[in-house]
Amino acid sequence: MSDIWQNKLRNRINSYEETAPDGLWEELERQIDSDIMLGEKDISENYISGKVINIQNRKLHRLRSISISAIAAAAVVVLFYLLNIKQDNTIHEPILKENNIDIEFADKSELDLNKEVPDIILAKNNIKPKVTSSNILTTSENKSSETEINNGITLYNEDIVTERVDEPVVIEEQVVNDISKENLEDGNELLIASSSNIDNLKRSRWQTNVSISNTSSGSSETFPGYGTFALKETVNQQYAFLSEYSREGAYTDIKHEQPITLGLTLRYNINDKWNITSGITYSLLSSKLRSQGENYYYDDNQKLHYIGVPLNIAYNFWQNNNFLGYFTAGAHMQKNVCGRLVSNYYIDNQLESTISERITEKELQWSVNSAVGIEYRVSDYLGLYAEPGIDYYFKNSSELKTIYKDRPFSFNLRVGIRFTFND
Amino acid sequence: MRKDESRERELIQQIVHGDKVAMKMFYDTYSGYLTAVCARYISDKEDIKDVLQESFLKIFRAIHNFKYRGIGSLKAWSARIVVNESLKFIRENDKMQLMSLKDWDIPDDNDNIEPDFEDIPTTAILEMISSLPVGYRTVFNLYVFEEKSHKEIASMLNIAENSSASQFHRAKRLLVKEIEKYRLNKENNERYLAK
Repeated sequence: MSDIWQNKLRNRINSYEETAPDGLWEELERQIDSDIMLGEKDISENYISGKVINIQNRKLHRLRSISISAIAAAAVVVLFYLLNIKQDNTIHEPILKENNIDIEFADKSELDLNKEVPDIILAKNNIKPKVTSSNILTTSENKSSETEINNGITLYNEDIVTERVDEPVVIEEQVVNDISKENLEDGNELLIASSSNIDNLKRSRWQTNVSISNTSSGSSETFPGYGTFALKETVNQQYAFLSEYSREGAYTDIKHEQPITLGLTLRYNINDKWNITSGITYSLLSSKLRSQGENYYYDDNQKLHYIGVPLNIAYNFWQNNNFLGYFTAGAHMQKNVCGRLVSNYYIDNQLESTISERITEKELQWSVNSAVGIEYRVSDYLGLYAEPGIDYYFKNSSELKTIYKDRPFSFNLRVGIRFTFND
Repeated sequence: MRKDESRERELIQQIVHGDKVAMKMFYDTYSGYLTAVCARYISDKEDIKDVLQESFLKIFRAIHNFKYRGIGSLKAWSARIVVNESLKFIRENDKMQLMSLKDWDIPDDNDNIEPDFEDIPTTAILEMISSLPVGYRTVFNLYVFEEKSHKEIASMLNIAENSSASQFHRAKRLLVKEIEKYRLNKENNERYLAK
């Protein structure tokens, strides 16, 4: 219909030429010469070489920012590992002593008697079966003193029972007795586990979380015509590649994989009910794009790495000895630290060429989230948790195509391990 | 024909290996056409030179990725790079003009009007096109000469799809007026000469 005039015009214009601007070749020549001066064989690389310096500079910057965040993360880990050891000593001490059973051990346990009640329970739990085992291991010479120790502790056990009328403790006492009767050594662990969580929350202000989270699914779309992830260099290559083919019947598939986020966070319990969490996260976003015509296509593989800082507040709405239920809500700031776009070009299903380009996003990626969490406390200092929730990602002005832009609203599941440190 | 093809293939290979003579040959063969392509998008002479220089460097740099598909393919491929470089230039320098035209989404009353260029010399047509405002001109060129859809143009220029369509219609209308003006001038001139 109305295309006729356009076709006519196109044909006329296409055969039209204009004289090139004066001095264009001279300037080009100068540019080419200076590139050849760099002494590289392949001209195609010569032109890239001008960029190498830039890329290396950027690389340095990026390395610096990554290493700073890595050091920060490492510092957090080391700090809490140290804290962990410090706190754990009280628990580990008797266990270590188990290997060299002697009178001192009994003395120590007697000293422990002066300590506060919960610690004594722990100590007792450890010592009780040990003393039984020492009965077996030690020579008959010591027997008399051992029975004394045994008596002392048994007496003390009774004291506790009378002191603390809480039901769980009484039950534990029974367990202790049962096990000591049966000379079961592995009873130790069981006892430590069951004696935990008594007024646990009151004592632990600081906790650290190691988590992994994942959205419910990726996303995909298909549309007619060509598409690309590329913004810079690769665009030219794709233009070049496609210019040789017609656009008819062409289509593009975009698939964003589920993003994966790893987190190392620190939780501060303000009181029994409220706590705040912050730390550092790493996220990997990967996406695939295929633009396809009749017998050729290209694949874009985009990988983006983000470092982020989350800030969440949580409210514990329910808890019993082993489980804790809570609501959490907060914000998450993420910054892309590096990325790569790899484009593969295929003709008749044969890989023709590959182009790799660094990509990055200057803008920050903000999001808000909310989740309901459930935690199972394995022990005093270890809990497992799961937080199904929702995320909303705000659009930033970057032109990169990511799942955050494609699907700003998403469900996700975060699971993790929570370490608790007693004050 | 065969001979031309193998000669061009050889030329490409020589450029890939950094042969300056081959580059000059390529330049002599295609600079006229590529200059015309560039001049469709950019009006300032100095800007055209800058964009062309960048384009040629890009062509030489990327030619190792180019798959030769017979006579005409190298020309078309090179033109694509020039168009792309021109758009990049417009995006960077005339962004305001592209943006300000966003609001032209009022549908035109006489949509089916078609410019009739039959009797107009090519240089005059090009002059008319280059006298169009940047936004109209860019959309018109991409639609007519690069055969892009409005959707593609929209994504290339970061404008709305209906904005691309309306700018195209506006460009068409302006061109129709320009053609009328041109014919009128021509008639006047002829009358004057007859006297």
